[in-house]
This record gives sequence, C-alpha cells and structure tokens, in this order.
Amino acid sequence: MFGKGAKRKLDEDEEGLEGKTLEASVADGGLGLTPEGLSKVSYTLQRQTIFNISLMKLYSQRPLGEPSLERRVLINNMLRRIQDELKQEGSLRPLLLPPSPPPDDPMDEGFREAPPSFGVLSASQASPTRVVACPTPLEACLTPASLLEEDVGDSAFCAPSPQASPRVPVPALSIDGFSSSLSDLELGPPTAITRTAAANNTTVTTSPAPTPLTQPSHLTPVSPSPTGPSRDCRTMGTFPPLLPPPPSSSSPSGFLSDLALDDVLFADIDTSMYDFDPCTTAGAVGVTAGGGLAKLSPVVTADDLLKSLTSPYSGSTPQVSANQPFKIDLTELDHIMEVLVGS
Amino acid sequence: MVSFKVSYSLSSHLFFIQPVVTVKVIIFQAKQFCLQINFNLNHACPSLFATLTGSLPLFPCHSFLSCTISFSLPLSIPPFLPLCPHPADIISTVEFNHTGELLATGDKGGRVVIFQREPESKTEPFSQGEYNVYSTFQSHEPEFDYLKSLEIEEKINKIRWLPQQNAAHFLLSTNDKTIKLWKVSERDKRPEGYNLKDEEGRIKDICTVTSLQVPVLKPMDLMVEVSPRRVFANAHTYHVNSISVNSDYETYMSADDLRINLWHLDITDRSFNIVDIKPANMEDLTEVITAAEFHPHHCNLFVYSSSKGTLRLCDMREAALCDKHSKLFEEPEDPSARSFFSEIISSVSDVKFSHSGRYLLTRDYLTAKVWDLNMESKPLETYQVHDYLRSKLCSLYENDCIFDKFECAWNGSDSVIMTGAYNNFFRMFDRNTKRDVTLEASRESSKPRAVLKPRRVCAAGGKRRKDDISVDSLDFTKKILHTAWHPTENIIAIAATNNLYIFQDKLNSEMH
Repeated sequence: MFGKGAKRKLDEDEEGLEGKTLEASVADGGLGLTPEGLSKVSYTLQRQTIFNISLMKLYSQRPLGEPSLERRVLINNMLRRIQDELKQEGSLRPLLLPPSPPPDDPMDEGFREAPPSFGVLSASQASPTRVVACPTPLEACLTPASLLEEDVGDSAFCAPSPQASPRVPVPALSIDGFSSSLSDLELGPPTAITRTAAANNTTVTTSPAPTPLTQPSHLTPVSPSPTGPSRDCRTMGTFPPLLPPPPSSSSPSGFLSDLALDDVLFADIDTSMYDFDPCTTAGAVGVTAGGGLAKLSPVVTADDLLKSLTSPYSGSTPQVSANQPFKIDLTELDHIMEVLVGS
Repeated sequence: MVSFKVSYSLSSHLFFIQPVVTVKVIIFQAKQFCLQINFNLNHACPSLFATLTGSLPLFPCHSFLSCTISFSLPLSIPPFLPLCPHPADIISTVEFNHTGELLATGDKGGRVVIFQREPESKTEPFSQGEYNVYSTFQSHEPEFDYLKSLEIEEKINKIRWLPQQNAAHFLLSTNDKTIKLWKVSERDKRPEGYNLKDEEGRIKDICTVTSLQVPVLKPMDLMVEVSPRRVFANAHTYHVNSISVNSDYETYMSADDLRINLWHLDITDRSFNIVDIKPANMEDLTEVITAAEFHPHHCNLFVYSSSKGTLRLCDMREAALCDKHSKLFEEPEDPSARSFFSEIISSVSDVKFSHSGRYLLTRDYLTAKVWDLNMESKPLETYQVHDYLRSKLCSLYENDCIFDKFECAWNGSDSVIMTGAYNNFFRMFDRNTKRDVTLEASRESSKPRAVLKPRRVCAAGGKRRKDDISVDSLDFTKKILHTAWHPTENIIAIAATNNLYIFQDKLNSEMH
C-alpha cells in the first residue's frame, strides 16, 4: 500500500481511498471547506459524498411520524451551501464535465480522471473512452444515482431497446464508513443509468413518447396520459420544478425547498417523497434546461439535478454556452427533435 | 428472603413488584457520590417468578435488569442477559422540582414517573436521599392527525414543575403538540359515614335511612392521586421542544420549531404568540428555534436558541411580539475550523439560565458554553465535551447522531456544569478549578458503594493509558441526553436510555 501522503490513483481500491481522504481532510480541521492542503480530488469527493448523503436523508422514507423540522432545515442548508459553492466555482464543471479539462483548474491526474462521481456519467456519453478510464470506485458513492436506478427500474423510465447496453456492470463496492445506508442500495447503478440514457438516445427516433414533452405546457396537466407508465412517471416527477421557475439563482432553489420545506409536503411527506424521487425530478429538470429532448439525452442523473440547482432554469433556450460538448449534444438532439415534431 | 415493595416501574404504567436495589458509588474526584438504582421487575411477566427461584428466565424486552438485581438478591441470575430496551421505555426527560424532593421522568411511551426522596432513617445510614417511586401516570397517548396523515407521538418532550404553593404539586408535561397541567396530591384520610351514600359511594335508598350521623375522616393508606387539571392544545403547528414556567408563577411559555407562545396557567383556550420566525415563504426557512427558557427572576425576560448557534434574549416589555431581540449572543465563526458541518454542530440543543440569572449555559454538539448576559460577543467559557468526535463528523452525519440533542445542567451554586455524551458517559466541568471529569453511568461499572471511576477517551493516535477507551469503541447507541441536578444538593439524575441513575455526593450524605 501507499505510505501516508503518497499520491494514489483513483482506481485504487475504494475503501482505502475513501477512508484516507476523509481522514486526511479531517486532519486539517475536519473536512475543511478550503481545499488547501487537501487534494482537490478528495475535497470534491467529500463534498459529493456529503451531498449524496444529504439527499438520501431528505428523500429516505421516514416512519409515519412527522420528521424533525430542525433536522431537515439543517440538511437543506447543507445542500444549499454545497450548491452555492459549486455555483461559485463556476460550476457544473466537475459535474457535467466532459473531455476538455477546465482551464482554470490546476489539477492533478486524479482529478481529471475523476470528475467526482457524476462527471463519470455524463462524460460517458460524450466520450465513451473516458468511461473506461474512469475508475469504478467513484461510482459507489453515487447515492442519488442509486436511488435513481431503483426508480428507473420500476417505472420503465428506461427504455425499450435492450440492445444498447455497451458496458459491463460495475462491481459493487462498499465505502467504508458509509456502508450502512449506502450499501443497502444496489450498487453499480451508474452503469444502468448510462445504459438507460444510451437506450433513450437510440430510441429517440422511434419513440413518440418524448414528443409531447417538448412543450412544457403539456407537462402540467396532472391527468395521467394513457401512453403508459413511463409517461406517468415523468409527469409526476415534473410538476413541482416546472411550475414556477425559481426567480433567481440566489434564492434557494425551488427544487430543494419544494421538496424539503413546502408546507404541503410536510403534510404528507411519506407519499410525496416517494413519488418524487430525485431522479425523475432530475429528468424533468433536464427538459427545461435542454429544451425538450435534453431530458432524454444527457444522462439522467444527479448531475442534471445538480445542474438544475446551480443554473437557473432558462426555459427552452439552453444557456449551455459554458459547456461546449453538452451544447453540441443538445443541438443535435434538438435537431432530431425538430425533425420528429415537424414530421 | 427477599422483601419487595409494591411500586411502579418505568417500563410500564402497570403496578410492579419492585425490589429496590441500592448501590453506592463514589464519583467526581475527591467528592463522593453514592448511587442508588431502582430496578424493576415486571410483575406482569411470569418470568419474574422464574427469576426469583433462580432459574434462567428469558426476559421480555421491556423488563429491565438482570444482572444488577444480583447485587442485593441472592439469586442465580446469569451475569448478563441481552437487553434491548423497548422504545417506549426510553427516558426522554428528567426534572427535579424546586425543592429537590421530587424527581419526574417522562418517557417515549407517554408516561410520567415521579420519584420521591425518602426521609433520612437512622437505622440505614445510606438511605438518606434515596429516591423511590412515588407515582406514575400516563400523561399523553398516541394520536393521529387525520388532516396530515401523521402520527403524533406520545413521547414526553419536557416536564416542568410549578413552584409549590400548597400541599399539592403541579407539573406541566408536553409531547410534540399538547401541554398538560397535572396535579399530584396525597391523600391519607377518607371520609366515612355519609348519610345518603354507602361505603362504595352508591346512593342509599332514602327509606332505609333511619338515623343521621356525622361523617368522619378515617386514616387510610397513603394514596397519591394524579389528576389532569388543564390541557393546552391546538396552539402548535410544529413540535414543541421547550416549556418554561415564568417567575411570576402565573404564566408559562411553550416553544416549537418556529414559534413561542405565552400561556396563562389557568386559561387553556388562548395563548399569545410572542415569537414567530416562520418566514412568509417556507422556502426561505433556514433556521429553527431549538430551546427557550424564562429568566429565573425577571418575568419579562426570556431567551431562545436557534439552529444557527445563536441565543436571543427578549424583553416582553418592549413589544407584545418579541420579533426583535434585546440581545443577540453569537460567537464569530472561526474560519480555520470551518467545515461542512459547522452549522450543524453549532446548533444549540439546550439553553439554561444559571440559578443566579447572570449566566446562560448552552450545549451544542461538541461543546458546552457559558455566556455572561453582559457579553454578547463571545461565550465566557467554552468546554469541550467530546472533541475527539470532530474527526468523525461525517460518519456521525451519516448515521444521524449529529442531530442528537444533548441537554445540560447547572449545579445548585452555578459552579459546576454537567452534560451528557455517548457511551453512557457524562461530563462535569468545574468552572472555578477548570477541572473536568468523564463519568460513566452503567450497571457494569456501578458496584455497591464503589467510587465511580473517571473515564478517559483517547483520541485516535494519542497515547493510550490503561483503561482508556478508544474513540472507535464508543457505543453511539448509548447516549446520555437528559440530565438534571438537584437544585441545592449534589444529587444528579442521569437518564441513560431506559435506565435512570441517581448519584449522590457521599460526603454530603454523610454530613447529615
């Protein structure tokens, strides 16, 4: 193994990595927010881990009793804080990011290889080769993704074409210290999700389902459409974030607060939380951000979700200029969409 | 032969046969405390008798005790039986009354158990100061909110005694939503010889009454009656976390996550909202009220704490709605210690005025702080309760322990403070000598008349001495959240999940 302070590659075994990064960070003042003295990787990794845990806590099913408001407010503040931080960093970068390394980041190999967790997923679409390079371990901490996966599985959100699954399943890994809740969830979901996305991509041309989704107005009707479970699931997931787009990026995101702090949700948190999985929401958010098809195209993961958190919704005109590869992707898809809708 | 007292148990509101086991333990540096534990055997459980005859009973989950009974009972009981406390038995609050004669506990099952201090007896030198069960009653029942489809737990969040004004005692108990005023009174005489009623209270047929007599009071066995006097309901949308009786003895306040209400003790159908921090839009909510208390002498002053680590002192003379505080106590954040969890660990879990009214004691996740009412900028003293957990915050966040709400207490002279920790440990800090001690409330370590040995937790990497506990072996399920200190003497009550430990300063008791 490596001595203390030795640089390690990320594709090393996960347990050691997680444990050590956490401890290392802890050593300088307990997960210090300032990344000095801490490798950027471990810092972002931690942040991501904490973010994931927080999301889990907000969405996990609670017993019938009314959950503690204090706890939820504190968790919510944590999420907001991380979100603000991401925003400040100019963000999306570590999340949605793609092949070209951001210029401002003086980073080591590790970071490039491991745009923490979610990066893996989105990158996978842009350049499949990267995926191979990307170590699996990181994916183990993808809590929301795991959640996602469960839901995706049930709701037939994923797609009709099974042939499009190019990758092998990720081996399940458990993270030391976070094993209790995380390991309960099925691991290796990221693969499944990517596959889903890929499947969706390939089926776009054949599937009529996405068409109505281009018009946000079609999303609001609550009446379940007869097309099938997948549509249902989407509409359900969509309405809250779509309704009033959050006024500005400075205000707490509509997403979080809707979920966590809305009075109505307080009332029946059990059911609503359940229906209202981050994944579906994330997917829905994708619709707004990507102008329709985007929903299906980029991987439906928490980075969409994150993205939705960090960037104010911008209706159907995607303001993704900061994100070149993503944009290309979107325009392509838009084009396909146009063809579809037009015909 | 073993003698039993008929008494109550914390584990149920049924009557129990209770062997009272007395264990003396000495603690706290030079001072010595003796320990008394009241253990209860569940009468309703047939295995009790099996136990007493020495066979191996399989204890039901909710009957306490096993090994400790063997302290005083010559029974062959296995040294350890797995104990899994029934959730309803977990003690959720502990409170001495103003004289210290009574001690009330509330539990998750909605029950209140009152202990009374026995008068000193000459035959048994150690019996002075022992607390025995005085009364027990069901204070709250589980309810269901049909509008919200949520259960309302019966768990007793807080108990507060009213200052005694006549022979009866009064206390307030609250669960998440409803506060109740209870009267606890004794009766040792009963009237006999009514003319129109027979002994059972049935009305006699008037024809059979042939002569008149004067009813007389006859002595009878002492009976403790507890009766509900007032129910203060429907004023809280969120969970009530604190109640506090005002020094005017007429009013009290109840605080939930977002509001504080002021009540008159005699009026149940209206209350005044004195603090409301609910934002117009719940999306903007970033802070909640975590605790609130009245000043011990000035009936117009109260303080409340928030989840952001601040304390606000309000003066009700300034305005009816105390949205604007008079003083804001807040410690500037140390940038070097900033972390993701800074906010969570700074959330104040308890706030207590000192008896003098000059100081405030607060507890957050890792520290206890003493504030001077005259200095808002920073605490006067900061005590590390379990700083070794600072490196474990991520795990503690993940398993939710970081949201545990530890309470804190002052001693009678405001010179020592006490608060709980994990692994059945509790901490005491002497404000004058700056010495501190970690003690353990556990059956294993509590031998009769033994000294409670100071415990030490060594941080990872530190030098480890004999008997030290490593941070990794701490049991985070055994937490001491609720503690209380006798108002004048060195007697403390420690609630460790489903057990109540009462420790007493032994020097003190010998002096008497």
